[in-house]
Amino acid sequence: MKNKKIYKSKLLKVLTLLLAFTVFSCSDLLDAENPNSLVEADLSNPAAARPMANGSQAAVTRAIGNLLTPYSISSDEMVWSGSRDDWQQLNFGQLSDFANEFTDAAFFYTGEGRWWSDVVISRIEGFQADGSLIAGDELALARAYLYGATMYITIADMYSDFAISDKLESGPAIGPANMVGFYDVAIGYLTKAIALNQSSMTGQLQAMLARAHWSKEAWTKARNRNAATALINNAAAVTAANAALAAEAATAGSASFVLEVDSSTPDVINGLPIGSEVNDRKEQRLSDLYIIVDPTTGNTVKDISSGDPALSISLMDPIDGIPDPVLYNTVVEFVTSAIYPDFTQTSDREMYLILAEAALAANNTAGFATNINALRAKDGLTPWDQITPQVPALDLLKHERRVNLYLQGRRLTDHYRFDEDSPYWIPSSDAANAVTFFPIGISEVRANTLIN
Amino acid sequence: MLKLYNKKLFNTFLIMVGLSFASFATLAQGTISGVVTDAETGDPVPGVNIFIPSLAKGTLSNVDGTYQISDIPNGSYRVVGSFIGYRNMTENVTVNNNSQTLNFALETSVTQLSEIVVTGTGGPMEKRKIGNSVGIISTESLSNAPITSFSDLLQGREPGMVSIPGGGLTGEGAQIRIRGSASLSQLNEPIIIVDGVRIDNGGGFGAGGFAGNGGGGTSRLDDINPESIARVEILKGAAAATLYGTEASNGVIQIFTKRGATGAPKFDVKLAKGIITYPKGRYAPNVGWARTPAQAATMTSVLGENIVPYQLVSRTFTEDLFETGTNTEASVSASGGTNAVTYYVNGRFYDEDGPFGGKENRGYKPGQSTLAEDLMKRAQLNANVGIIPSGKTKINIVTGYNKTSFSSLQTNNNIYAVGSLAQFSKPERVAANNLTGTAAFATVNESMQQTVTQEVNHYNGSVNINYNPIPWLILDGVIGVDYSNSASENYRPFGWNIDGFGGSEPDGSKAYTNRDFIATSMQFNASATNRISDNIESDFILGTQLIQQTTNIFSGNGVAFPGPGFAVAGAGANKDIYQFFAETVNAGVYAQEQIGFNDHIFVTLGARLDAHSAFGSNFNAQFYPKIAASYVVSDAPYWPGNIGPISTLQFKGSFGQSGLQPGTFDALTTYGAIASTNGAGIRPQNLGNPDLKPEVSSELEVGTSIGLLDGKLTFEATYWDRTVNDALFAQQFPPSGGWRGAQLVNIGELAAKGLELNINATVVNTGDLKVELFANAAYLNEEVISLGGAPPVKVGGSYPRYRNFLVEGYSPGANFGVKLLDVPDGFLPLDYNSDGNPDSRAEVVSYLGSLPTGASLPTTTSIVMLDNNYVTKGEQSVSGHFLGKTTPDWQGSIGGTVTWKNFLLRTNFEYRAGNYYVNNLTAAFRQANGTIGRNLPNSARVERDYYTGGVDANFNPQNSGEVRTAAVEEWVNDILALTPFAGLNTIEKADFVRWRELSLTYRFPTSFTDKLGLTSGSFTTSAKNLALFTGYSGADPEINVLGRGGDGNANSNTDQNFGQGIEAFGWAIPTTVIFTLKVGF
Repeated sequence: MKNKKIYKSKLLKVLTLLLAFTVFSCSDLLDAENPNSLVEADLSNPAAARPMANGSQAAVTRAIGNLLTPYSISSDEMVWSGSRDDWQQLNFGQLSDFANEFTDAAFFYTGEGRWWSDVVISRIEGFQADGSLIAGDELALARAYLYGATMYITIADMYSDFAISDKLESGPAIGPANMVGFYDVAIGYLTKAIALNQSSMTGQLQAMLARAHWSKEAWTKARNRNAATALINNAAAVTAANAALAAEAATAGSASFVLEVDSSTPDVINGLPIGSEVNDRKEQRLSDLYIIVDPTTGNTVKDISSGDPALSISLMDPIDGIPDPVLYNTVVEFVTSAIYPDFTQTSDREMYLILAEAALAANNTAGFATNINALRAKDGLTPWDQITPQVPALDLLKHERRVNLYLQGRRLTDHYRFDEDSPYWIPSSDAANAVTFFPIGISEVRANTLIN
Repeated sequence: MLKLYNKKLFNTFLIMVGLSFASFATLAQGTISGVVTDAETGDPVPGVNIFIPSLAKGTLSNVDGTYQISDIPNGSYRVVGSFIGYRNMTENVTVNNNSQTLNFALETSVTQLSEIVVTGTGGPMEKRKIGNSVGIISTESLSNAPITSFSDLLQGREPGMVSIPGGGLTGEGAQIRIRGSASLSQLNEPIIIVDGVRIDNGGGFGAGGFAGNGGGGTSRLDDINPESIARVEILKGAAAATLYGTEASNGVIQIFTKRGATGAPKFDVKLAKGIITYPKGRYAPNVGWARTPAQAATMTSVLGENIVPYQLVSRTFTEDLFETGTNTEASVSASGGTNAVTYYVNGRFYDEDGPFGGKENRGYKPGQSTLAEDLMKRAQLNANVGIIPSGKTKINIVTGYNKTSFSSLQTNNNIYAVGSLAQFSKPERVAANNLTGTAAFATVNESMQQTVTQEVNHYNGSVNINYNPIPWLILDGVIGVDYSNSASENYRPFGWNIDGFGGSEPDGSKAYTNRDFIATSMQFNASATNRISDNIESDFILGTQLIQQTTNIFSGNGVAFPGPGFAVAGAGANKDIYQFFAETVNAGVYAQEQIGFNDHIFVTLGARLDAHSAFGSNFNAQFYPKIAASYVVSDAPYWPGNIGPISTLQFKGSFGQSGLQPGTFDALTTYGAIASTNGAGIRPQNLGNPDLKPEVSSELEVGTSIGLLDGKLTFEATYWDRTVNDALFAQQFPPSGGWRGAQLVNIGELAAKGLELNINATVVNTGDLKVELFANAAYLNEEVISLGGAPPVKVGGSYPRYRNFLVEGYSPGANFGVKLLDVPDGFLPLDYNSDGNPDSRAEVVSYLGSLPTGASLPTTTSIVMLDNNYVTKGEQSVSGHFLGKTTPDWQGSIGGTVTWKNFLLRTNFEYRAGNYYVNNLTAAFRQANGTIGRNLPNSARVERDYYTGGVDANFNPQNSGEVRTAAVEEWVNDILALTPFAGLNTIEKADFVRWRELSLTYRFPTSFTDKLGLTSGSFTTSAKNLALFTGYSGADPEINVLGRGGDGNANSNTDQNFGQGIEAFGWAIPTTVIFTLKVGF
């Protein structure tokens, strides 16, 4: 009997071992396939430079698309018409609520765009430094700089404060007073990009450089909120603007930098980008100050497909008294592109505006006339007469800025620096009472160990 | 991989093996046979388990009550006869190379200690030997219940198990929760097993895909043919589910399908027809008023009554969409067999055209009609074969196939949903092209041009071989596969915006999601039964299990067709595609030893060692131990027979662990693809965590089972206490760090405890009349103990209207939101004069009296004053006040059965109560939203009064400051909601009692069935969800906005788990009345 017990004991021991061995000795057993993504090591391959630059472009585009919605509804460019009340709060001028779902949601994309564009620059610079950058990929590096600069300029334009963290590591809030430094980062990136001598990008790099310098000064003007001292005459901006226009003269369109969106880039319209929210969901509509609302829907532009601006546009050119053609073209393009509108970051039009304003600030009426009329001529509008002005130069400048930079994320700065409130702001609102841009979102505040 | 094999763990297994040392009996020689009858009636009782515990050997009685057990070694044995509804009966017999006759006359009883269970035990085992509770649902006892799906079968049957329906649309599936939530981040659905094989426990439209309707998705569990189910066993937590290891901490539901029995072919036919209706009166009417004479004139024209400005006008736009639905069911079963082969085959067809209509009086132009439907068709086939090639071997082959065709509509919190648009509708917004007056997005008629469909093919099959080579050893292996394919589509035809109102995708779109799921299960058990001495017996089980699951999702979307008629995504001008592949592998070995002392004290030790493909690279394997004990006092030699009224008594306790693994790729740092106009790009995707390991759920359970009055009444109580350590928590790292998604980390701790009570009683049993009652209750208390320093997480991310949070110190999913500033009497929480202090009522009256007609109600925090004093640390962490939890303290059911002659009446009520709050988001929108809402009777009146300052009998504005003040008081105290007032006037108590089921069956007398050549026959009239008793003001406190499987978009597990208690534009649970004819021959 004892031998029998031992036999059974051994039998069960062997069985136990056999089962355990079967399950755990097969090294492949637990290897699950993952064809969905790349891992860290894949990004160390120099062949990743271009895809990373493309990814940076897409991430920055997505961030700006998601920022333009809350930014535009916070200004007089759009009006809330849907179901989600936090849009209305922004429309009322309540910008400082860090729990606003839309500014909070946009912060995620902004954070991604900022971090990824920096990392892509760093990684491609690494390829360049160790000599592994594939010939021709200097263009990818120049593009990476451009996207990084765009992100920094946008953040500085739109946020009261921000934070720079790195993956799991929290970074402190920059502090409202230090936000202006973001323009310097952008200027640094653009300077490096220009030094790469990528001729196809000269115009847009110079134009963005002009915008960066100009915006840096506008950042201060906006916070001063003093119409009397609002005009900007920045030498570096003027230099870059002239360089951009020179490039434009050589190759039409080269001074424009547009973050393009189309149906081949579906991930770029994730979140709550302006095209989806306005043209598809119709959570907001373009404001009555600019367009005529279709009364049958209450939330679309009237007769946009008629080809007649008079049926669709309410904002008139101050000289010709006609529906503004620039605005009309912008509105048509925006509406017909549905969920895929492009995001213009800068253009030759903006260069003329920078130059015209600089001249006006310097009391150089002729210079103002030259540049503002160059701009107006692009749309066949009657020139401004510097001898017998049809409208005051400042009024014309403000108008041209409204229509030429419509839905480009510039309007709040002009509201503040010219001290002209949006009519949709309620008197007790944040924006009506203080210069307020977007706060660091509640999700960042909760997750960031260095922000209380 | 042998490095994984921890020496201590290995020794533990060997110790368990050692416990099975003992002498084993010699080989079999004799036979026992007999007849089993009902002690009261003398009728034969089929299906009784006749079992020799010391040999782990037994059989079931045949249709005529006879049984036989052969090949019994010589010796003396205790033979047990057990069957549901009867008292356990024990007889002693001695076999000595002969045949012994042993008859059983069973007495009825509600005490069920002798029931045999197999789930979580490694093999068949009597409940009395188990230290943990195992829930059992027998379909035989529910034969006349109005069950049309597997979800119906589970609903309200077992204390501690809750079925959470998404809504009342045809085909909507339910989430299942057992003992609340055992995970903060992983899906809290139990694992589902059919005859030993893991099956798809998913639902919805395929996460990550394009197709979806806002949450009204199906559940793959409802693919299971309810007619094929013999019984369901439920393990409620870690203490019971240890042998299932990783993936099992949310409990296990195992389904046993019906098997054939030896005998002539037997056919059972079921034919049923029913009607389905939505409850009237649960949807508040749409009320509005004209601002201008022109608007009044339009309303007069469209609504067909003379309307003047400021007159309140009411319509029932939601109830106008109701119709009387129908369902039809046909089921045919055949069973029988020989001593060598048995079979069971069932075919079932179910067809439902639900109570959503929307077809009549819609004002359509010629050629237009409602395209959205609520249809469900299921064809189900089960075929099970049992083969007994020898006395030592049994083979069971199980197959099940389901085909589902599902048509539905856009629903829930979805701006293109039929229900939401009907409820948004405002009489003052009606127009010739907008007959209900929706304020935005689309008209109701346009929304009914959108269709949602899903085709499902679901197959499961397994082969089980049970081999008994020597008397003390049973080898049991099962291999099986579960495959499901769901093809889901959303379709907007070209020109779907037939009223020219909706602006989204006017040229149509088609989205599809094709989801393939395959689970392959392999399990092998060796169990040894060993009588160590006359007083000590041993049951040792050793097993291994391998589960591989793959999910492959293909989705596509095409927008803007070139013209009408196109209905494929490829025809769209703008196309988008998506694919996702996931594979997980779980491998484990387990062992369990049970020692029985004098057949009344049982101690069980067990453990499982698990490895999983989702564990991080720095983590190898997880060890899950268990220990349990059962003390059946009434089976002890010293038990006097009865102690007072107590006839049976058991105490039991157990402690065990099980786990839940991270998501498939959560451990990896990954980069995904993103396209740019310059070409394909790369973006950050998943932060990754190489230290990821399973969260471990440890559960202590103690309980008792008391049989009273000779088994006429049974009381069961179970207390449990669970802690989840290393809880996986989806931590949001700073978005400014570049990675948008949360990352799983093992940092949380989640605790829960509960009490489950169950009473069954036979209160009358006098010949023709038998009355049985039951009541059960489950108490649940859950708390997030720690988030490991991570910030709280909110359901729905940035979306502020969902107020459920995971916050330390609170129930998971608890609601937080704003409260008004508490002001002294005579003051209002309003600051019209911008002095930073609450205005006195007199100040408000004065100010509001100065306003002209056209004033707008205050909707900003610059006027409405809030209480920003957050008392607790948890409230401070989310900047919100605690507004109630979403899981009730108590849930359960109560009911009974009355049998009188040939009639059987059965009913049950289900309830949820105690600190139970639902976020009535439907009302929040309707009462407060300035664009799409303010159409509830009170909010329309308040807005009208504030706008006008009151009206006279002819609806002329009065500009009364007093009227406006009364209006604004009601506005802030009862109506104001949504951001920046999220949670205010929205989250309300939701205790309810629902009359869940009622059925009356007439069994045809034998004299009648004999004439027709039938063996049985019955006619049943039954109903489910007959009535709802609640103080909750919304449509239905039981429905849930996220439904089953999410809304088809990117809902996270956190949303699915804790987005409970949110009602937003769902359809109330309908009432169903079914007439059923059953015959057997």
